[in-house]
Amino acid sequence: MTELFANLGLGFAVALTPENLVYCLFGVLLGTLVGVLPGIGPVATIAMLLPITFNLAPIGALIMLAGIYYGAQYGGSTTAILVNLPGESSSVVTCIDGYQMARQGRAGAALAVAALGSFFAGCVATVIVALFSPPLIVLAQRFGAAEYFALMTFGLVAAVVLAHGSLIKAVAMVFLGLFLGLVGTDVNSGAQRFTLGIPELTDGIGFVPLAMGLFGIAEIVANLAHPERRELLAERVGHLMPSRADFRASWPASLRGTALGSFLGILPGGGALLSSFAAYTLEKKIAQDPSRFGKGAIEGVAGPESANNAGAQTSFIPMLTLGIPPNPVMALMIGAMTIQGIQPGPQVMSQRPELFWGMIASMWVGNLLLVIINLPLIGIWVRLLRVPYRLLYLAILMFCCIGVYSLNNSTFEVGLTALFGLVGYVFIRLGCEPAPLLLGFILGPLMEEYLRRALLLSRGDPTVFVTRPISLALLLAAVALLVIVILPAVRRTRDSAFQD
Amino acid sequence: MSSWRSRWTARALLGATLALATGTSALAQTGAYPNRPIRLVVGYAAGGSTDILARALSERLSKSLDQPVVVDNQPGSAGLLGVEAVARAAPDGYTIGLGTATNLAIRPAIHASLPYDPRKDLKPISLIASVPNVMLVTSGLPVKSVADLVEYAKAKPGVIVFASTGTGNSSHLTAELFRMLTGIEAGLTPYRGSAAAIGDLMNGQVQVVFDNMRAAIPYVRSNNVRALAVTGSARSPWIPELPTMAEAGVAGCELTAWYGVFGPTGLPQVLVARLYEDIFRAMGAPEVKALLIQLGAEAVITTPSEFAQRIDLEMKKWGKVARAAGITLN
Repeated sequence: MTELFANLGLGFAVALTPENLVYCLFGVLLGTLVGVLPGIGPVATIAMLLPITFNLAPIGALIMLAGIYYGAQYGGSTTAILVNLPGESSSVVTCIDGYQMARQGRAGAALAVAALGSFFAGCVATVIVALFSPPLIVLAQRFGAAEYFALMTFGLVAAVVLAHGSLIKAVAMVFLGLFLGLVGTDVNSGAQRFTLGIPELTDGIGFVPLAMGLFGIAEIVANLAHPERRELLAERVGHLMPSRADFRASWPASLRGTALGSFLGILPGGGALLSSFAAYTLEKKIAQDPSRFGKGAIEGVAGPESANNAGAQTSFIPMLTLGIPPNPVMALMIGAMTIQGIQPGPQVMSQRPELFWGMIASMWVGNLLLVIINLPLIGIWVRLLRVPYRLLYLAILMFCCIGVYSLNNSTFEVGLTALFGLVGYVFIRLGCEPAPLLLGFILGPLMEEYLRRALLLSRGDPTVFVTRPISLALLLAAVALLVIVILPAVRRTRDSAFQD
Repeated sequence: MSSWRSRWTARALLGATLALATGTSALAQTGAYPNRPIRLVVGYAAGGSTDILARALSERLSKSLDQPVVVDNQPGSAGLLGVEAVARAAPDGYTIGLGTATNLAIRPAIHASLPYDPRKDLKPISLIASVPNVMLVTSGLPVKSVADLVEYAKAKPGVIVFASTGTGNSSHLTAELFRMLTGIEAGLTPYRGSAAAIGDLMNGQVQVVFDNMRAAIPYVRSNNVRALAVTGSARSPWIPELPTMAEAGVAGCELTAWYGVFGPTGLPQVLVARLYEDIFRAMGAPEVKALLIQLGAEAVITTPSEFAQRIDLEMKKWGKVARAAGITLN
């Protein structure tokens, strides 16, 4: 316990330096901004900022990027409540009751409950990250190639199962990601695969062009394809503070949401999105009068808003301890760490304690900053919605191009980004989510590497995956998850949960 | 008509300039050189050892040449893309590169087809620094010296597994060379990068890794792994108690990762001489020396012809090792 305090002390010493405070503030401000603006999400924003972070100190860069992620969870609720537009996919459920509250003139209460619930969840999640990361790291250090392979198999299965929308499409996208991940030089033999004789492809398809194209550029194209539709209730924000009754109804929901979100965030495939959906379903299930939901029930705002923030933060645990991204944002964070020359994994905590604990401490600092920013600035955020998209997107596109080019000084990668932007738009039209593709792309090459290494180390004996207990347990869990989702009864529940 | 004439005039002017630039009076040319910024191509991403070295060098060269020397990172394919870019550039002294043992000697020796041959397409200017590899073993292995390790491996053939930090790099080739010279029977598993290989070394998944001094020092100092020897020709000032491979009984197991500046073939001798002189002075600067210590490197300055000989020798050596070990890349 004293060690925990010493570690957190080190973390706060790092996070509270003026420089890192500024990065944190900038990150959460930007996160809130992209959260407020529908169409631009944290994945696209972080993807666009990746090249810039290169010139920052590693800790400052990571603090800023992390701030964008959980900051977006705060901002996303603002537009969801005020204009019934989810600023973030994770605030989709907040629209349901939040917007109804706003129409009843209780927008202030809804916004305040969302912000305070998020703050509470953020504080709890920070402690959870600090408490659970070290034991998980100890576990991770016993992981060999076989265990990593099993873990990634589990992660990929979970990513498919937990993705919303069509299951077949999710599977297809994972496989497409795996195939794209094959491009490049084979790590064992040094042979080139699917490089088409293009020298720029010998190290594989770049992660930044892929992510920026699929998420950033494709979203811009999709947004331009839809006419702007904005219905503002800015003049009806009303009084800000929730009533005593609101508080009584919302704090247990916040508590439940925090617990659920913290747990789901750790799972591969989890994170903010899944947490908020699950929390809303839970609140509706245990409510005495479920019919109030959809008509402005404050629990329907407090629960999911707490859950998505808790989930956003605990999803850092697998990334920081195992080097495995549980969701696309964490995949981008791994990209950012790699650009900084830090190999994510269990060794980060022992080799770079200031980075590890500084980032954890910055989460609490960031949450505090977010409450301070969000409560008074709601009026300004609403006004930002009036910036015409036709002006905004030009600036975004230009920064994307500069960003990609500056990464490797390669015009080829700018072209690649444009190509993936086009592909991403096709995916949006087809209703295919790019997130499973990204996870397949990240995990695929790693899985292959670990599979082959496990077999090399066992001298070709494939039973190594089932004779090692951790590996066996993980593979069984993956099979169980697959069976569950194939069972029709469970599938119906899953579908209805996502339709709510 | 007039446009034709002006084009003709332009062409004549261009021709005259070209004649001057490539031309007969080398002295006149050095008087003018350098009159615009010089590009120093680095085949690795910014932030790595090669880039850090290039930036230190470019800062000094910018002052002594009185023209900005701009580091141009063209990462990809183990630095081969950057070397290729220099090989294709005009030999006018405005494009030079900083290469490594991997992309100037090892890869060219073991690749079935490479877009350049360092002996034909490049003009070596100067070797600037070298970093020895360190032989690291997992702390659970009951060996205290290289001789112990060889004895252990011979007593239990096939138990020891070497890890390399990549395929076709100095870590890989050192392991192959060591296996070849000692005749031990041991596995070899490639990893992607140093951190992953050393991670598995620490938890005992693999038993031996050759890694460069910069990557190895933190682990050796924290006693997480055991260092047995260095692969340089002399002991390293960073861990002076470590014997060289030759001292430890494996003569000929010598490999250092080195860094050197080169230009495209056809670079006039007078420019080579000028650049060599300035590089020589730059590498002697105290700041550069301090930086080399951080990188686990030592300054090794050679003349252009010595550098060319070194590349030739190493290519032959690695070609032999690769053939014996059956490594070919394409």
